[in-house]
Amino acid sequence: MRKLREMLHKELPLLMSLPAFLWEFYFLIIPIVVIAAYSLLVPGVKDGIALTTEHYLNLFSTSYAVIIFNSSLLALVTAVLTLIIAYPVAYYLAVRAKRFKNTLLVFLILPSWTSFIVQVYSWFYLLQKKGLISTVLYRIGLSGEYVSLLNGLGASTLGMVYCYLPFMVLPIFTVLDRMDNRLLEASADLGASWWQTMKHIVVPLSLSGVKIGLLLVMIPAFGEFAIPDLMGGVKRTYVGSVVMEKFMMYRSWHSGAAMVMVSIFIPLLIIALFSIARWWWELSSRGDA
Amino acid sequence: MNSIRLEGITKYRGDVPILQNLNLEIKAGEFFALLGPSGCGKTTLLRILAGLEKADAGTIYLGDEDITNIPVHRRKIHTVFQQYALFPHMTVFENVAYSLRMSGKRGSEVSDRVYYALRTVRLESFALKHVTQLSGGQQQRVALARALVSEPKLLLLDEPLAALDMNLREQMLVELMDLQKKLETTFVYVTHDQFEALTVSDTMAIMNTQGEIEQQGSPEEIYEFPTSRFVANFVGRTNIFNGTLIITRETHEVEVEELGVFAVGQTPETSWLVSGMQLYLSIRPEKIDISLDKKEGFSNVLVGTVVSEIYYGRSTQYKVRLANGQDVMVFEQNEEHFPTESVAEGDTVYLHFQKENTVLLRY
Repeated sequence: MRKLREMLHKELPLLMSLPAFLWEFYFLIIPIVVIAAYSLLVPGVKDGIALTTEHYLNLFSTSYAVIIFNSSLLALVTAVLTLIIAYPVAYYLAVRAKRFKNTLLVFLILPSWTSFIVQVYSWFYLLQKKGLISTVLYRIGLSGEYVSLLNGLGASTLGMVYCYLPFMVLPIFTVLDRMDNRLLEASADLGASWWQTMKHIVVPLSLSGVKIGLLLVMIPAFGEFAIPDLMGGVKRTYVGSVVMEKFMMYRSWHSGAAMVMVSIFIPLLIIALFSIARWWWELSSRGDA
Repeated sequence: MNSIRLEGITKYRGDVPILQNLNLEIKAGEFFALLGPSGCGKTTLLRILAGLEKADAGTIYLGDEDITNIPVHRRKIHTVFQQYALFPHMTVFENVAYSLRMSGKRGSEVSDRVYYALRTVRLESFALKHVTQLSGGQQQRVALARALVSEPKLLLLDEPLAALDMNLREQMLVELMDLQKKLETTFVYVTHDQFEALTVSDTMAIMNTQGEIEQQGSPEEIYEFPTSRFVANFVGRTNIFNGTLIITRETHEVEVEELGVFAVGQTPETSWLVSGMQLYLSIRPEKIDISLDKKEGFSNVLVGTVVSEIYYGRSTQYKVRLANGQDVMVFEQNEEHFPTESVAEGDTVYLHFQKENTVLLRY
């Protein structure tokens, strides 16, 4: 009995992480394996397994290339813009905000408690013709007529950045919050200006958070189609819409699965390039050691 | 070489005064210890010196230069922080090279000076290790090398040994003293540990809980001639008697109720002494002789009963209860394997001390 209790005590962390692990396994690992299998199988073969790369090769066409390019650009632009906006926010929250840290954090996450549809439609209210912004512009005489700010690359980018911002802020905030603030004092004490401290201490120590943030934004952004469709008008086709069409409309699961694999792979590729760039940058800046 | 002069430094935390109109002078090239109880504001004072915090009022001079409004990164005053605050993403070399690189130095000038600094703290072979791989004592030395490498005008040390174990602490104290003698840089060492302060410093200042400097002087002056009850109690241990001063033509005496009259020596500063005044008399435990028989040749003799005895190895501490119920602490060196007389709990003993070893303190 006692031995059992001891064993339980020792293995408790493992036991407690079991539900999460099972959840991940069932809803993440298995689906990815199934999708990967579908993307490689010859459709309609009943007995035995026949593998093919056909579904992937089919994606190497100009029309798909344009779609993949559209989604890559969307993901990249969204990621870069959220990073530019999120970094100062995360830095402020983690290093400067002190007493109001938690309150401000709640305000930041609050919008993502509602469905993204609600978030997008509130932007409609602001951006549409005779919406709040165009009315104000018209009334104060900055524009001669009511203009719609919707239906353009700008509006869809705005919507994307708005919806994905928390996913960039939170991981960066987490690493910066864990960073010992005395390191900043030590840096200043040793003669570093604010910019030098940012460059040599804060940014290098927060890179792991930046990387996670980029992943969290880029992977879903690459598969996103609803926000750009709703806010930008259906002018461009994105990987997400192709995947949906293939699964829902054409029932061609195999080629849809290949598209999904590509949409997982490309953001990972971008992150890998980012890591290599960082590694190279570190190597070159360490030249005189 | 630079002296430090603080004039009228005042600092509030909200409405609470931390430091009030504090004046302090530190000579160039000396090892200065700032000793005070936890929370007395000594770390705040150090941070103001470093430029990490701004005083609400007052002026700081480094040599003849007024540095009050010079920001932290331009002060050329470096700090060894309590938990070292080493940069975890850098190697030992990069940590030490930091201040040199920030001032735009590159190449062999950096590496020569970094290796020189690492040699001084005996860590050359660790240069390419990451700081997270080092032991506490090694990290401490990296912090020291990092702060010293660009030859600061003043080195501040904020309880630098607090995180180390006892043996390592004593060893590091000796190294710090040697280093300071060699470099002749002014060191300001903040601690709440009286042993560290007494060991290491040329001059020490004692801060009280109100954030005021109670006394400043050499370790010997502070220990042998404290000027207040706070200092006498805070630095080392002492026995305090509450009495009335009687000044006759030849002698000074203190009358303590129920114990009689004590002969007392001259205090260095005597102008404040007035016959009939209430004051404290302090006598250190190691300056009292304890024995079973009454001895001749002492200016003061007291009788009491031993209530406790603690054996410390090199010395034994006795607590002796006097006729008025007051307990007196006595330290006796254990000089022999087989002492000729051994005092034990419950024994009636005589306590002897010379009047020259007493100190008079303001009530």
